[in-house]
Amino acid sequence: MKAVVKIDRLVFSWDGQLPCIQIPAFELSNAEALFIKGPSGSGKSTFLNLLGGVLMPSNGDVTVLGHRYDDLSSSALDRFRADHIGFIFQQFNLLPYLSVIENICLTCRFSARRRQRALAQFTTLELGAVDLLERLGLTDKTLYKRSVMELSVGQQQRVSAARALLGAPEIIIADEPTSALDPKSREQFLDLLLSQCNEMGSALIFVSHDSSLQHHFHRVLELSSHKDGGFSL
Amino acid sequence: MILLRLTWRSLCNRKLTLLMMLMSISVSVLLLLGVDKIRQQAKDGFSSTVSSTDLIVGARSGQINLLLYSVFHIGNATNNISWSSYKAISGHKNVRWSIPLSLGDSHRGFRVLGTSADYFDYYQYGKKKALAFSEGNAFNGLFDVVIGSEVAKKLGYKLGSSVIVTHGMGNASLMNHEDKPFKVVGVLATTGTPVDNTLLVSLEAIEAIHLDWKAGIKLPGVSVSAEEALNSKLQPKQITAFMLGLHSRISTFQLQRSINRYSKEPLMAILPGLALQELWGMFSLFEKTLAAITGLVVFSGLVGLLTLLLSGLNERRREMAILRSVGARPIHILALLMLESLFVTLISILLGLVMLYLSIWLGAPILQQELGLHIGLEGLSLWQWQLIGMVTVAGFLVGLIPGYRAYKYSLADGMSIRL
Repeated sequence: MKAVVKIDRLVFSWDGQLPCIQIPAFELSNAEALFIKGPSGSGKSTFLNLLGGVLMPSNGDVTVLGHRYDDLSSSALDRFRADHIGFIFQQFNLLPYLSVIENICLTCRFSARRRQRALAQFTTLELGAVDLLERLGLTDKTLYKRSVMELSVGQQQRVSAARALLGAPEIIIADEPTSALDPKSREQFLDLLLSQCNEMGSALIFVSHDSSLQHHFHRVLELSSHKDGGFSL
Repeated sequence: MILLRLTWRSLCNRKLTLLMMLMSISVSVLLLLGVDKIRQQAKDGFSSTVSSTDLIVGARSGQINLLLYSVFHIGNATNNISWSSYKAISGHKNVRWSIPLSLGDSHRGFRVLGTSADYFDYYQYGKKKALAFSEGNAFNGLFDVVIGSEVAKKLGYKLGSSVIVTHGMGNASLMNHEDKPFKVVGVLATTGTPVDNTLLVSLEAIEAIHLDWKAGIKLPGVSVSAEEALNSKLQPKQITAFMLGLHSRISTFQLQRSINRYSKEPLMAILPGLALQELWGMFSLFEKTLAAITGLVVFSGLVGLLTLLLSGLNERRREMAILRSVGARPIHILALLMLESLFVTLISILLGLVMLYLSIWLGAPILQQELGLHIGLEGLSLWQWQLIGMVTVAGFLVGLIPGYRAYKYSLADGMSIRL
């Protein structure tokens, strides 16, 4: 299996002094579902920002799909991220002034590559959005044209997932997307997300402090305290 | 396209802020254009206080001075001119019409102008508008008086009211020509010119009330009654100034030169248009001050817009972060804020224009009635379009400041949705 993400001897510190995160070696395979757990404050979000190229490591390098982040300019990195990575956050992922469908199509408006992939798959972005929503269990069509503010948190997270998946990016990064959900909808959401990632062929990096979810994933890693300070994978 | 859409939807989502932003700019646009329109119309109105008069002739002094006392009835003539000179010049073959003007008396602070009936036929103001009567008609009898609209309004005079003329410009009761009262026979329609503040009588009437006067003093022991005056030979000996209309404008300069070189008396002829321009030039400081004030109003409007944009920015960090996470680059965020401020400015300008024309439409009759200021619904001047252009550019540039801040935020915040 080909590695989509490769990290080599990465050290990151906020102030250039104490290391905050150290990752000697890390690899994510194509279409793999990876669970990363760690207590709050363990640098989970920092790690995701490093993966997304929002933060740059103090030492070592991150290579995604064969591109070394160090070699990319910040605007090239922005484009790369928009083309290849889908994001789902804890909550409030959606723009309140756009409809459900418009929110989902947003990624494909900023990335030509993802737009083309979505169009190849679904002929129009709107059809793709509807298709993904249905697969994620939101079949009530009256919801689609409504403001996202009228949706429940669980519904909102499914819309976010549909948005991250449209255009089939190689990597989906999910930052505690289930923390605001009750246990039942948590399991349901996770099932749907994993199956859709699988179908789209996207690798999933799922970060959470809730280890009860880890049995759904191919692989589990933990951010734990490092002897030199900070956390390490 | 997506940016335009996002800007628009985002703005519509913040209706109260949008409303406040629109208010702050549209009101300043209304003021900017409104003041400029009034200024322009005031200038036009002023410049056409007297029109189609080719020359004004008076005793030799300064051109502004002559203009001031003959047209605006401000100040006094340095000297009178003789009736024979008037006759000689007005008989020139190039002269189509002439209006003699005799000033010096007043009525309760309003000037009394002695003239001929030709005044009502040839005096024109504005865009070649002739005088019109709102009531009555021109003077006919010796003790008839025609009053301007302002005189009628301020003093509450109607047709048939009795008017006693005062000698000179004072209110001293001893100097009244109370033995020879006048009767109002006509009221002129509002013109927005000094005519509104004038009482018009015939030259003969001026002669008649001064029959028993000499050098500004009532002759003791001599009294000429109104009846006697009616039967006297009332030939004016002197007038203050006169207006000339010529057959061909080409001869204006030629005639002006010959009047200025008139050998029997030191006379001066001026071109009223030129003199009016020179006089308006003296108000340039006033004009500049007005422009500066409206400039400041626009500036404060823009500052208001900036404040609203900046204060909204913190609440919108989440929105920015979401946009970043779906692939918007920081440059998109910058563009979003600049577009927002441009949108607001453009809509405000439209709104300001609507308010401007609405208020002109509603207020023009009142302005015309009360101040004689004519403001039409005509389009904007080039300068006014330039003002709009400047406001637009300024509004767009104002967006740079919050845009740059949001750009910085989005670089620093990255994907992480804080707050």
